[in-house]
Amino acid sequence: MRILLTEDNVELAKMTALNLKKDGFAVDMAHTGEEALCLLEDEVAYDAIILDLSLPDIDGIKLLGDLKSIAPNVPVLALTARDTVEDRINGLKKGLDDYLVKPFSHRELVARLRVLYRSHQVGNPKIIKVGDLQINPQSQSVFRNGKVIKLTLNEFRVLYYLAENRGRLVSTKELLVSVWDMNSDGKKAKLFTTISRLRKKLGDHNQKIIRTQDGHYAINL
Amino acid sequence: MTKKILFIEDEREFAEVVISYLEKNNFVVTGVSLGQSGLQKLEENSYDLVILDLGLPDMDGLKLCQKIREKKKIPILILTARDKIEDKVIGLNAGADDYLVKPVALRELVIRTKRLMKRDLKGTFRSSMFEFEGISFNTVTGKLTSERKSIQLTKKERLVLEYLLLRKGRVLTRLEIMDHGWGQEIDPFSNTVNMMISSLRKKLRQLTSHQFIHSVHGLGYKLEVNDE
Repeated sequence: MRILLTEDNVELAKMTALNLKKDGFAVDMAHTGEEALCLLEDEVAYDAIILDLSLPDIDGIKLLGDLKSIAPNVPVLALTARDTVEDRINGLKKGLDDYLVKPFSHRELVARLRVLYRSHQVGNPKIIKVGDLQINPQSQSVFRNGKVIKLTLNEFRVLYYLAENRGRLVSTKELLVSVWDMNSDGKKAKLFTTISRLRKKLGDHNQKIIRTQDGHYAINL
Repeated sequence: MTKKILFIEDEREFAEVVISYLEKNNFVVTGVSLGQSGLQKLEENSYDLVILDLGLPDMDGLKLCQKIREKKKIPILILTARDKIEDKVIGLNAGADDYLVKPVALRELVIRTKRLMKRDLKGTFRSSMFEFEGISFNTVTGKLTSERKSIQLTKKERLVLEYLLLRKGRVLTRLEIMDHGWGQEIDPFSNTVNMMISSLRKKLRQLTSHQFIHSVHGLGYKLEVNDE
């Protein structure tokens, strides 16, 4: 379970993160609203957000709205010193999923996070977007501008591996091991055929999408 | 559509105040003062939410909470005078979806009730226990139990297995599992996920001969279980 912890008090944030990590959670910290928004935009994998309502740069309730517009299905728990009934009601009305007042018990925080985790909708499978390609590992399908491109399983695996590792060169050997689980000359020939078919299906006639360089491949979109 | 609430509470005067307030907010409320009658009502009618007092005369409120959770996938809100952290943690782990301490601001009760009902549209209310393939898995303690024996998972193993179970039948890539389980803590090219899966498999193998964390070659893993 991965958590985005938004808290401007650095000491408290570190302490909370440390305790959550001890419980097995993965935690990313943001000390301002801006940082929280950046992390959420970069990283779709959060299972819950812990939100301090009194951040230096953005009003907590305004930030809540921004967070929800980026990730509507990620539950948000406010962890705040604002302890009036009015604050709680207002926050919950504006879309908070739970509300815990500081000082808080770590065990109650964990119990409440776990409730949010077990009862929230499981997000959609991660679809990798590279350029105008949408690669869905769940259905093992690739879309371009809403149109499906039919690939064989091996073609899909090669494309998927390159997409997952976009931004770096992948060696022939690495591709063979990851896609066929072995590195042999016979398989090497098969890999070359697979890549050439893949390029054809993607309309990649000038090797612009899948780039070759010294026996390495990279996706280039 | 009007939402129906079952309110299990034995203090009559308090119950009357709460019921009339909820009714003013357009909920239809059935009030009962005994745990047994609460269970019976749940059998006979369908409700959108249960509000539960823990100090009932005829049965332990936490046991009742577990019983309701086993039977129904509806939100449970505990409303009680028991204000110790320990009680809250136990209540939430027993399957309650929220825990409010008396005295309660009725407006907060209403808004929390509404939040829970809204969540119902998007998710399912479930307990912290999983039952599959003759194994019971307590996600709070990390204990796996079958007829053969009982095994303790580490905290990380516990969360990863829960992650897989919540997404059963779906291919999960190494990257997805890594993102949710470790985030930025580990090098994306490390083999932490593979190690984790193999250690989970090893532990599960001690409980059952059935293998259900499948490798989907070149893509990731998929958990398939017979349950419920």
